[in-house]
Amino acid sequence: MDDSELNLYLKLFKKSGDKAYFEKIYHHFLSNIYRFVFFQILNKQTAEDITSEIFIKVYNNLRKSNLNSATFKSWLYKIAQNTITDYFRKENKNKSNISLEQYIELTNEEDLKDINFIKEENFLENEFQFKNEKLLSLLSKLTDEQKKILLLKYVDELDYKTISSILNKKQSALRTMNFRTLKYIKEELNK
Amino acid sequence: MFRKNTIKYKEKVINKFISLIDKGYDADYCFKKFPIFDYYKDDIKLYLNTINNIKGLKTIEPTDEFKNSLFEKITQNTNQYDKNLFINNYNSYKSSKFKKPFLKPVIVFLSAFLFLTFSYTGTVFASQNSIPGDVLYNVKKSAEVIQLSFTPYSKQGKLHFKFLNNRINEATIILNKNIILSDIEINNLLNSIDYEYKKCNEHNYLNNQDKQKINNEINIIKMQYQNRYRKRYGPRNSNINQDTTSSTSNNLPTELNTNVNEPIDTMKNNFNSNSYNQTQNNEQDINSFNKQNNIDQAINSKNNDGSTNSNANLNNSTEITNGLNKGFNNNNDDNGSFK
Repeated sequence: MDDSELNLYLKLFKKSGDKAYFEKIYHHFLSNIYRFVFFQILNKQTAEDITSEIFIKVYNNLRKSNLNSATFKSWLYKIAQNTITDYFRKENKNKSNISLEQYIELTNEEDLKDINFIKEENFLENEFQFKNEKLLSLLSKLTDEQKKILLLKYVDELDYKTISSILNKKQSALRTMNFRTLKYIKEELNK
Repeated sequence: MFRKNTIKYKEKVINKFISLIDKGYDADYCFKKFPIFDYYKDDIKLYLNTINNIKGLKTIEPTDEFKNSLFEKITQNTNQYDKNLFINNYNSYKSSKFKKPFLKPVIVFLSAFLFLTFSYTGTVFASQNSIPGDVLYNVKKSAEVIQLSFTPYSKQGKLHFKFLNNRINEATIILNKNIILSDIEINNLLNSIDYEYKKCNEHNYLNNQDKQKINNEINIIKMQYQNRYRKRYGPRNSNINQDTTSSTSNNLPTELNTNVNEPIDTMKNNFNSNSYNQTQNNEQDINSFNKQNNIDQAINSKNNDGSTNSNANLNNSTEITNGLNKGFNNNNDDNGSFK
């Protein structure tokens, strides 16, 4: 979807409130947002829940806001980031409330699976038909910011201006960080 | 060649290549356009492979089942959304109007300006009935100065006459209510009466009749203040002057001999230099003067003018002010009037 096309759908949805226009925007951005959430949460089920929460928020607030194609993208990703932050906050609260025994049980059974899912063999291959395990293990070693930059730049194909508005960082800093991350991955892949 | 072998230079070139790719340029075009990239072709290819590997993450997508179920879930909230549509639209309208950053200083300035203006005008309005000694009296005086500065010269006489009325009115209120003020405040009040009278004359605003009436009124006020001062402090000078022939020969008090423009300080000095007997006689004279209700005749006989033919027998100062008020209203349509 081009920027002009996105602008048109945004305007039409704002004027009419027709679900058909929103459906087109939704289908265009759903995969991007899902990936953005998934690589931070590292749990398929939770990623789906959070993604649905994000799009409900978007649907309820889209007509209220005056957005164009450029601002819409950064607005959408910011909603996603805030929802993820809220999720982690809730998780930390819940973990602090439970007893130590319960926590050990949980970490043994479920959480360890989720946290170390990348290390498990054939996990992503079964789920997503993604076979580059080496790259996934490298991604797990990166910081959150590095991961986000790589995803937003090369997978979601956003420009540095939009990324800088999403991550609240200068474009020059993003470029430098991106190059260093690429260099690190390149060296690790070719060892 | 040496420069090309340095790591920093190499990284710089590769970084440049990647930034060109990021901008949407084709890799082959970049190699053709900039021959320097050929020198690091192998390294650049490794970077391109890495980028392609990362782009492979696009295959991670949600299932079709999830996509469809989520859209249904979202559209279920439509009814709830429509209920809040009006409120939301109103809020967005409100926020779009007032969240513009450039409007903030304008709104702040306007609100501050309006607040100051209304608060000052309110204070001025409240100070209209104030008299010397009140907290708001200075506000009243400052408002008069401002009013005068915004009035053209041709209309200033009318305004000075209004202020003169105000001063005389204030002086009579103080006398009637027996309000005790400091000597400085009384002196200032009498000085301002003289000043306004002088200004009225400068602007040729008063007729001869009005002048006469006002002059008499001012004389009476000054006399009453002197009388009051004497009652309050009594004689202070022990060197009594026995020459009282001039005062006793007249029915009028000696204070009427004083100049109209004489301030109270000079009156005080005169009073100190006069004799005690003289002051006693004067007090008797004033009492008789008030009882006779024959003020016009007394003034005329003292001044030897003979020109005033006013038939009004003014019993006290308030009646005089009423008479002035009538004259004021006949001459002008101004709001200023005596109470």
